[in-house]
Amino acid sequence: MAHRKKVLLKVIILGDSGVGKTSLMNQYVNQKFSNQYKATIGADFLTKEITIDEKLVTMQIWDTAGQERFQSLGVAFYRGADACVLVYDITNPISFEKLDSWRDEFLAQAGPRDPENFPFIVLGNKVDQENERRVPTQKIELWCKAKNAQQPMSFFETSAKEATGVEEAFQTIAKIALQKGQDDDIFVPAATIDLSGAATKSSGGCC
Amino acid sequence: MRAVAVRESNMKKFERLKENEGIERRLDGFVSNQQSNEPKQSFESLKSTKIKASKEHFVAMILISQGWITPQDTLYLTILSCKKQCRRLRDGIPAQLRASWWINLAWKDQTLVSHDSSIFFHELLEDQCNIIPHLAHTGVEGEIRRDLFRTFPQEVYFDASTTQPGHIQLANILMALSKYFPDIGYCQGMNYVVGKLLLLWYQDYQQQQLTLDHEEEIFWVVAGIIKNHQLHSLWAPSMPGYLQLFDLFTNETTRLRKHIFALQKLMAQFLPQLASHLRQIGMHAGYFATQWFATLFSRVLSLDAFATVWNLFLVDGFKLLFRLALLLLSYMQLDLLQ
Repeated sequence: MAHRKKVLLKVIILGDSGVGKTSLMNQYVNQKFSNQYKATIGADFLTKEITIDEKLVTMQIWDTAGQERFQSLGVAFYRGADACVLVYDITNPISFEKLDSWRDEFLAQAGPRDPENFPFIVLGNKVDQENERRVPTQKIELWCKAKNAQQPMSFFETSAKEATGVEEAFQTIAKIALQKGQDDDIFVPAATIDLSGAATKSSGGCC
Repeated sequence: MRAVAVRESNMKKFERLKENEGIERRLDGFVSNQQSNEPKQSFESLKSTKIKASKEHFVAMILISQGWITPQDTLYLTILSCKKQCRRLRDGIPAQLRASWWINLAWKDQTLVSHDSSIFFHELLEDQCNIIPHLAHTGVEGEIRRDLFRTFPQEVYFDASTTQPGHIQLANILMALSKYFPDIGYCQGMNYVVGKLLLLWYQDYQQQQLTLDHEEEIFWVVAGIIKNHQLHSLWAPSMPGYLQLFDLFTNETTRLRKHIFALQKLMAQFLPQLASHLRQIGMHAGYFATQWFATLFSRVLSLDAFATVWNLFLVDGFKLLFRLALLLLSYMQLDLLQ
């Protein structure tokens, strides 16, 4: 897509609190792991420049708060997202069961043009704690197929601690999002400007 | 006569202290690496009015420092419950008075009877000194458990490599709060507020081991602000059922969203250039303000700055936090506009 000067991919990381969203983001962007991350409140983002098919792409990765009651604030961050990374913890079955609601809530709040084919990827984190695993791999495989039989979501089992599968996973989501973005550009050639201000107007009614 | 002389010299000392550490100076200290003076002018109106020095300022403190009264005395409470005194004392409080002073401010006109409150706190914890082993892995208790080691892990007091006394105290207080306010349960943000208060108490008591009594003090400070400073709806999840239906029409959920909306309006009014710049780049105020408000600035401020802000916050309430947010943004404005 030659008319695009710069490619920016906005990627949102979602999942229950404590599954390792901040760790995954930091491992991918800074190649670092620490067990001293503070619980995320609201949201935070990091950017990383990568090259995909000889094209320079800036990934803007948004790390979000995992506690459910912060979800209603998500709309401000989800707007204009190009892809979404759903994370669960393989040692915590509840975090796996919540994937559905994270996905649905994201689609409801972000309101993408083509929700059926919106680029999602699923990461089962903490595989370094294999002996405490409580979510078998088949389960996530089935879940991905159930969501979209023709084009099942990709999933990776990762360890932010040991950097297992992290690079691969983010590369994959970047590729899928880029492909999707190019498909969409055929219909909407102009670069979209995200006016988040417009989103906040609807959240009003306070004064 | 001698007593009078001592008292006068003490007063002078206090006044000097006050002049040296005026509130404006302290607010400036928050962002010490910023040297820009330009955006400040428009902010004079936002800052609290400068408090004039007066001899009555520190009556309560002098009485205490002379050993004439203790924080448990009725006289002391009477002095504290005088609104004028509250306003005058708000920009500085000696460490040994902080607990009783803050509980008093947090509970405003309602007096706490310390004896009863202590029993109450222990009942909430079911007489456990360490609630951690009793915390479930799911629900509210699971959420508290998960955040214990993710609250200021860089601080030695909360060093995440082993279970510290700080973690136990944090767990006890959060658990007691969740039982006291079952409709709030636990909201992320409370962990930082309680954690910061523990760090402050630890500093105030010269790094001596904090006891259950201190936990109880912090519990009542936070319980007080939740009840009396409209923080209830800040931390409570949006009501199920009818509010969600309501939501469809007004898009209205939590107070946090309202606060962020209000901050955006204030930014448009007081920092129009910055507000339009942020709108242009699609940066919603929720990005930075969610954390500021949900943690009542406990996550970002240094311990001293936090103590100063809370002295004011406990008197002025949430509007102080809006002022602070605008002040911080005004200091960062030049950098943000680049």
